[in-house]
Amino acid sequence: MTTIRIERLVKTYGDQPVLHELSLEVRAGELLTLLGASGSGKTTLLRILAGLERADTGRVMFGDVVVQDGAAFVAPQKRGLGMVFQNYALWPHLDVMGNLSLALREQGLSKHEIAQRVDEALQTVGLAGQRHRAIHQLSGGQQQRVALARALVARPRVLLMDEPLSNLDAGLREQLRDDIRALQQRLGITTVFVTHDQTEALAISDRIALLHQGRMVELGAPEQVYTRPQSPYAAHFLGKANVLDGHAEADGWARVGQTRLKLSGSVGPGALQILIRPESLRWADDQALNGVDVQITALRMLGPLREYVMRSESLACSLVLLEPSSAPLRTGAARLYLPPQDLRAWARQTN
Amino acid sequence: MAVAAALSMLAVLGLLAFSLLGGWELLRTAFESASGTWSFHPLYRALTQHYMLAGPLLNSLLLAIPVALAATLLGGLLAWLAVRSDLPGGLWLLPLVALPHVIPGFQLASAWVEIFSHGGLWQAALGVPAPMSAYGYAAIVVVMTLHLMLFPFLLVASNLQAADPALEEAGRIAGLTPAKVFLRITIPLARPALLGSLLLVFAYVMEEFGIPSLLGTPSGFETLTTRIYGLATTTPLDLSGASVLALVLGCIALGVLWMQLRLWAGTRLETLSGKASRQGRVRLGRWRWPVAVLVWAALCTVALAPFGALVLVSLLNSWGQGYGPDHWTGSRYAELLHSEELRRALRNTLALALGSALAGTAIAVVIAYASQRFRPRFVGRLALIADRVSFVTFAVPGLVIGLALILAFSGGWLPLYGTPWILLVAYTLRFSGVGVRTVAARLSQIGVELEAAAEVAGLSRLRILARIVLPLLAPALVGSAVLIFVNEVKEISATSLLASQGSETLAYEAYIRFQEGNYTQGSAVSVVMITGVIAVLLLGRLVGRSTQDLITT
Repeated sequence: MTTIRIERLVKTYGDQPVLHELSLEVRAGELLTLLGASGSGKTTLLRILAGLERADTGRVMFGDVVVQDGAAFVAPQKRGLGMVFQNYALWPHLDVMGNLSLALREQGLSKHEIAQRVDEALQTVGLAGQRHRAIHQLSGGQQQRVALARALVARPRVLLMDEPLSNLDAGLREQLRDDIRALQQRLGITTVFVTHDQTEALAISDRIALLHQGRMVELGAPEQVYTRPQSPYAAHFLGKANVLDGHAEADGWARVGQTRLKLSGSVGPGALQILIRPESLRWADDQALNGVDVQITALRMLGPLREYVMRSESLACSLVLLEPSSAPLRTGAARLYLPPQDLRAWARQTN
Repeated sequence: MAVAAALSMLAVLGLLAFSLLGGWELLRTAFESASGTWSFHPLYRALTQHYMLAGPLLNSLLLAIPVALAATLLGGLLAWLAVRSDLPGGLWLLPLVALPHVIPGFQLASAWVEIFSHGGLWQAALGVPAPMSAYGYAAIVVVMTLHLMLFPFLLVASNLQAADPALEEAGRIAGLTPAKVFLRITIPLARPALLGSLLLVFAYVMEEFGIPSLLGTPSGFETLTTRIYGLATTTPLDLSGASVLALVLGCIALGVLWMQLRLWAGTRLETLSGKASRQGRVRLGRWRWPVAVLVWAALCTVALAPFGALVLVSLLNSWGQGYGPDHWTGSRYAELLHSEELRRALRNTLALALGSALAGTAIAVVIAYASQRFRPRFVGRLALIADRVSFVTFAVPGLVIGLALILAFSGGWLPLYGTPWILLVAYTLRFSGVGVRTVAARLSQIGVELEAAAEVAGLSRLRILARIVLPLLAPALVGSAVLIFVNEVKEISATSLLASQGSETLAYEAYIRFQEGNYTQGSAVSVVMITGVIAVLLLGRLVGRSTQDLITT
């Protein structure tokens, strides 16, 4: 079980800064997801962990071993890593066995041991008995499993995954996502997983680190970052949100349009941006506190969920509400309740 | 529509007819006794007399195998340095590797003689005898390697560029050192390109005529090509013996072609796919600058020295009497304008180059279009055969084509031999395959629906061809015409047999002068030719790019 400590990493390409003094600790045995849009620096960070790229300054430690610190640099082949690449990077000139055994042969294991380890790894990913298949004979999902087996076969200290699911069809993607999660938990291997897909990140991670323009803007368990994000950027990136523009008033109240809303905590004076997730909105009958009259303007059936689009004159904005599609259907005028504990408010950036 | 179909038929049938007739005449002559009846005697004679077949064949193989290995090794290594390492100025390696190929082989060989012969430039400049002989086996190997290094360079470079760098990175993660990654992953991945290079260079060495005839024949080193030339041109002529050798050479060429086709068919299965992420270049570290200096110095020398030698010698009063400025004169170039012989050669070269470029490209369009668009019909199937035949006539050595055409068209019902027309036929046969490849590749990228859309809009088939297909093909047409033009200007092996009084080309005039030892005039003609070829290539790139821009924007 290896802890990864990342301290004040800086990386620039030419004069383009990619990572700004980024610090982060990956706990032993956890699956940490680096989430972010393209250009956020998540892939660069992963490649620095792999040793495929060098940071300009800063330090990376695997357990007690410094793998990069200024001039000190441990080459990727000496880091004890497993890695799954975005397009799998399976060697087309070798069969499944060849792909899996290369690292083991490098370690000088005996033929017998190699065969045993390869079979074990293939069993782990559900490909038992596929040793002698050529790579181009495998389906996308199978290739992805072979890539996973190859990453695990040398029993690495750390597993790195670079958008491993992005080349798969939706159904297969979910299945493999769950398989990877189960496997990682069973093996207890410290894993860093890179993705731009927030649903994937929420489903698979112990913790999520959200990166934005080379900085970490959010770190926490999926539950926490989704329900209590620390910034509007994180709130938007992790899922849909209704945005209300208002002004702070005394004692944790805010004014939005002609309505006063009670917030969960006190907020500083000035302009506010208030966010609430569509599934946190409730229908209300006679709620005095945080009740709003709305007019339903559109309705979308999304399968398990139903989405209402509504217009509120008093808030002077549109709102979206999500509820199970088994709930009774509503039309026309309605009244909404905005629970104070689900309203997240930030001072609005004036720029 | 009917016109197009008729034209297709005509071009296709013409190509097929000339090829079949030539092949038939070769076979007939090879199996004909002195009295004109069928006989295995010529074959028996060739097989039993060492100087005819066994000796030259062995010599050809002794050249082809080491040159293929050396050119692939050097070209491949340079390609890796250019594409995958952080060698300073790596992108500029290509022109330097290309230059010794742009110079026709026999001119490169002559430049070699000018530098390394007794009293040559080396001795004059350094005051010591040249380190190696200007003639013979070793000289041919070196000159051919330099001349053919471009093919491995291009093949390996494009293979390396297509390969996903993550494949190498995965090797590092699996615990391999950079050196082991290179051996276990990079080289095996480049295997198809390396094998393809070996075969291609092998084929080119087997068919090369100019270099061995200038560097080998004077020292008694004969290859299959020079032996065929000797048998077919020195009295007493032995055309049946030459035909036997030509058939052997042709069969070797077709055998190599067959292996290349199998190799390509096999590599299509391999998945080098994946969007190449960022192309990670290998750091040469402390070797970076030493390697850079070595590579650049060596390449500049081998690329520029031959051309420099030709330029210098072309300016001399007379060969071997001294190289200083007081020996310089412009009269060899003035001769180009004044000598009726050379002016005629220039006219012939331009007329034949233009003619074969136009004819070859036109035939290429017809064959490519008919074989791709009329496939189920008879015309389409015939065009498909012509497509394959054009491939074969390109692969067959020029001397074999030259000999076949002599046999088929000297006298008889169509006495083309002795006229420039036979050269036009030879060049069109030799190089229309180049055009077909170029045009077919582009045509296959143009969706049929573009033509369907025009058809729905009510355009006639002919107008679709003129308004849609040809404009879209423009870059390929330019490319095809330029390639055929340049190849014609450089061609010497078929020309050496087919040129006759009045139909000589510039290449032929230069070749004859080198053969006679008139290095100053030969060099002047060569310098003009090489400059012209480079100008046409650059112009072609420029025009090709601007037509490309026209279409993409």
